[in-house]
Amino acid sequence: MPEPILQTTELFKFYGTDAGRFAVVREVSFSVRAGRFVTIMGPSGSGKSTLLHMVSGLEPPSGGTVHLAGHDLYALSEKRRTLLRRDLVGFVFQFYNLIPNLTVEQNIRLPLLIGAGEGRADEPAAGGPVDAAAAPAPRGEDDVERLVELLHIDGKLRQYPHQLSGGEMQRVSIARALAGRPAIIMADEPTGNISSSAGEEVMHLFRRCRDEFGQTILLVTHNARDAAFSDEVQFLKDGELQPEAHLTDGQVSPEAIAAALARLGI
Amino acid sequence: MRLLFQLALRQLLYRPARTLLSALGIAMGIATVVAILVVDENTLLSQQARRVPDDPGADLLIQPLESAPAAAAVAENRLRAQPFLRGVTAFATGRRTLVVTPPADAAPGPRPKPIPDVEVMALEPGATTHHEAYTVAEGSDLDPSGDEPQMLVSAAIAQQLPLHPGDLVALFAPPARRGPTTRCVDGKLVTVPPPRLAPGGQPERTPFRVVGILAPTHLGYAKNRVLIGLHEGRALFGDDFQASYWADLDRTQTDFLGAEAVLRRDFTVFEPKRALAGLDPAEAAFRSGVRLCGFLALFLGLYIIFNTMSMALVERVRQIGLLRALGLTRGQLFLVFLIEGLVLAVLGAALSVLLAQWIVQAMAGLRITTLGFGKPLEIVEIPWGPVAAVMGAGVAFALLGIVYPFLRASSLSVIDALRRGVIALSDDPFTGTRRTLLLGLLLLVPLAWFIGAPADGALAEPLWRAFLQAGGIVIVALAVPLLLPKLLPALARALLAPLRGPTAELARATLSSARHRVFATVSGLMLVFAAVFVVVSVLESLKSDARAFERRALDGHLYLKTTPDGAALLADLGRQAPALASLTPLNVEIHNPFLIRALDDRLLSTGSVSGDAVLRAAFVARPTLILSTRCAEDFGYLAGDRIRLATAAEGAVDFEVLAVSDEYGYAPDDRGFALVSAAMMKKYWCLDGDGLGGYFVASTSGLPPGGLAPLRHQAEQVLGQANVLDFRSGEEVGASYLADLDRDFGIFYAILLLTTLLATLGVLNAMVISVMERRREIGLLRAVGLTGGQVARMLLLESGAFGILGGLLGVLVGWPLSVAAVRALATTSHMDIAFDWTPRALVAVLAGSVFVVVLAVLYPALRANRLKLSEVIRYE
Repeated sequence: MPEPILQTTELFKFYGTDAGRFAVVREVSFSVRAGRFVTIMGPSGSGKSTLLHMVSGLEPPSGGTVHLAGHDLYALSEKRRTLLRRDLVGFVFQFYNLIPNLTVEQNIRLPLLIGAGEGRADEPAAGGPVDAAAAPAPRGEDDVERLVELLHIDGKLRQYPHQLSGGEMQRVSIARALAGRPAIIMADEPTGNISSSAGEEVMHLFRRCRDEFGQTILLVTHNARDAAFSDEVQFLKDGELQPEAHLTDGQVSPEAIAAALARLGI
Repeated sequence: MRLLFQLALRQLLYRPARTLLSALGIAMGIATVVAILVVDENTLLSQQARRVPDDPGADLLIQPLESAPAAAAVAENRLRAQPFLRGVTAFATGRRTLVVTPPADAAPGPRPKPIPDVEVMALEPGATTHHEAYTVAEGSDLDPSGDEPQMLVSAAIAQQLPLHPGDLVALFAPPARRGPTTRCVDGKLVTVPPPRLAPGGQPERTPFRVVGILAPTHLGYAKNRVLIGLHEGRALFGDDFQASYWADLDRTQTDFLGAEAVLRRDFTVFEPKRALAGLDPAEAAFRSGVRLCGFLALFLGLYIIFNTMSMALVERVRQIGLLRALGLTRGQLFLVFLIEGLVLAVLGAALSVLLAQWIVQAMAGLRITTLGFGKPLEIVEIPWGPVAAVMGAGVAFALLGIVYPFLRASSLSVIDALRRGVIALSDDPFTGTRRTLLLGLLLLVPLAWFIGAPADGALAEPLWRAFLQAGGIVIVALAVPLLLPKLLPALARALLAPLRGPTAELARATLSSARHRVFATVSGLMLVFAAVFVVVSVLESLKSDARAFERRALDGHLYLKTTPDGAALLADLGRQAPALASLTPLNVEIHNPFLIRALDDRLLSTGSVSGDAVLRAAFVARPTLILSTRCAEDFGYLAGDRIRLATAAEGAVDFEVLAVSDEYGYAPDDRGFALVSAAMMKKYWCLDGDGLGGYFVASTSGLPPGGLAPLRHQAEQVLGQANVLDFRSGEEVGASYLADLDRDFGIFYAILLLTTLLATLGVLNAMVISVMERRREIGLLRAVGLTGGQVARMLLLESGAFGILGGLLGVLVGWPLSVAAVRALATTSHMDIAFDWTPRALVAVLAGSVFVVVLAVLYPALRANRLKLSEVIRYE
């Protein structure tokens, strides 16, 4: 079995100091194999966004390790971590996070623009061989055109974000995340601010990315409908993973998710 | 209301460093202007303290050329008829012995000794009405309608004799004082025997009643002086009576040179105040320049507080949205901003008092005056009126700085503010405030005039015109981008167009959208760099003029300054060092009405009259003058004109202007002079260089190789080292003058450095605002792979665009401003200077741009890289 593309070991995150210290994430260990669609579910305040930020290299943990594509993320320098994130990770945020003074097209091409002409971050990593599927796919203009068509935003390329609806902005955000064909897509509540039908479209798109491009999807959400699209579901409660509720291949369904949530009292 | 105060004060205390920094920006702006006003006022006072303390304060001193009574009377009538003169007051002086006349019933006893050689000044009534002639400390003033001749005595004389109001005294010329006198006759001082008294005759005594004792100020300052009426003076002085006049000049009709041109036929006209530094037009222009640089600092202080309030706005958009949602009205919101602005402004004003004090003390200690370095300066007076006005203006400016941020805050959609926490692009009311800024420009000109124009009446119409011209250029330079708001962003983007890569593209995108920040930053830099360009260009123009004078007047000469003892040995020096045999005195001179210096014939072997034997002969043998170009231009003379000069030997004599040339000049900063031959100086004024030390000049043509050092050595050996006070070539004299110019202009550079620092602070603030406004954007960029270094490069490119565009526009605006400034200087000071461009000006602007750009981006880049990525992308 190939090495997982993402692996965490005893991950901790504390906020506050001394007597006021509290753990947002505690002892989280999990792994994600390449080409899998994994969801981490939990209610608001369960620490799932914090967990996502830690595994993507955006927020250093208080304890534990994160290995991304074979790299010990927090053993790297800030710059190396950034380059790795640029080459391997595509982000979909809840609140779109588009650059307001760039057009839709410029926003979509932003990862390509940033990476243009720069060296790549991959290099032989400590900790073992990297799965071939985890190696970044080459980037190209064709991908962008396909995505734009796929996401039905080809007529909006010259517009600015403030001229788009919420759903359109989220589609642009997704297009940007996918434009570089990153090895892993990390999505934080991507359907939180869009309509139900638009949200379903997004989930279907994620499935296509996994099926057609072999990309790994890591989704954090509290939406059971969204989680049902994934291959496996982990549950996070009060910062801790609930292994007894872990749903894997063949077990994921809306009913199973609902039952797990009920058992956990979430 | 209490809540509003709390909101405002908490906001200021939340960011204490920024609050302090902003107050400091205001303080620096105000303090610079206040310090310059105080130093300027006291520069003048320090100069004026060097004047003769008994000066009655009149603008003009007018002396008749003719002494014959009939001619003098005609001349006086013409004088009094001039419409440009006010308060024409005649006076005459002589010397007599003063003796006390005891009352008839006085007891016998020793009597006070007479005081010999008392200066008797006869004054026309009205002297104190028109001028600050004197003040009566005790008793009463002279009454021309009185029954008996009256006198005012100095406090020293009153104490010595003693005298009180009501006492009787007498003036007489005892035989000893009517002794032989000397007169200049045909170049020789001859003794004129005294008039003989009749056998048994007594010297004439003229009685006077002491009516008052003078205060020791103005005319009462001289210890040995008494004042009498003009009528009594005529009788007392008899044939020796010769009236001179004080008068004030109505400068709305003419200036000194215009008045002199009208009166020169009959009078020699002096302007005592002209000799006082600071009122000469060139010096007034220098002072104006210094004050205007201070105004620039104040203007930039406004920019600082503007950015501070904008930063505060960006930081608390959500807070403002929440307050509005909870019911805070726009009016209440305005009060919050107003309170913040007031606190910052008042804090800045208070800090400015301390800063100004420190700056003034530093300038006084370093003898930095508004006329350059090294002039005497004692701080004795604070011009509270102008200082209070400037501080008030600074506070008002600071409050203006809250207008734009408030307008943006009040125009926020509450929902947008709560939801997104940022000000959306479409909310940019820059369009709406442009009209306000355009109107505000019109207020800048009078404020700049108030600060920049020394209020001492020395300004001429050309300076007004130059000021309006310059003001117009600045207004156009600021108004164009306001009227065309896309212009500056387009230019900034064009600067970055050749660059490729993500950071350049992102920087270009940012510049397109932040029109307001681009305008505010670039226009502030433009003004600073324009000022730098103007100062460097004006200095270069002055130096070009000085170099030209040096080539005409100084090159090819050497100058020796020696003591009288050394001068006595010059003949020996000439025998031992033949090259120095031709040293001729340069220090035989009079001032009447301009500097007239004797020129030895030997120097005529070089120069413009050297090739014309007829001219040379005329210069030596006849009353002729060679005028310097400055003198000729100032007084409007041409070769061939005749100038009436009062001489010691023959009264008024017409001198013919033989030539106009600088070739025999010396002092580069004293270029208004005339030359007369040594023979004529002796003939008409009985002056020659015998027994005098001072400057001597010789030609360097034909000097042996080896430079001046061997000659200096010889001079020191023969004359004695202590007697050789100066020994330089003309080139060296010129070079030292250029160094003096550089030194004097140092004050401009000091102020401009301060304004550049303020500008840097402004750009830094603008960049920090940019980072804060775009923190989510920057966080996103970091999240998708832009490294910290790339973020810093992006900010550097933005800042670089500001700096370079500001510099280029500064040169573009500075060029016509420099031309106007030099033209104004040439017109008002009658200097023959022309605008001279130099790469130094461009280098100064370029260096300033780089300095600002690099310094201003360091902290914002640091802040950008310290953003907590997970926070900025998580929350809206």
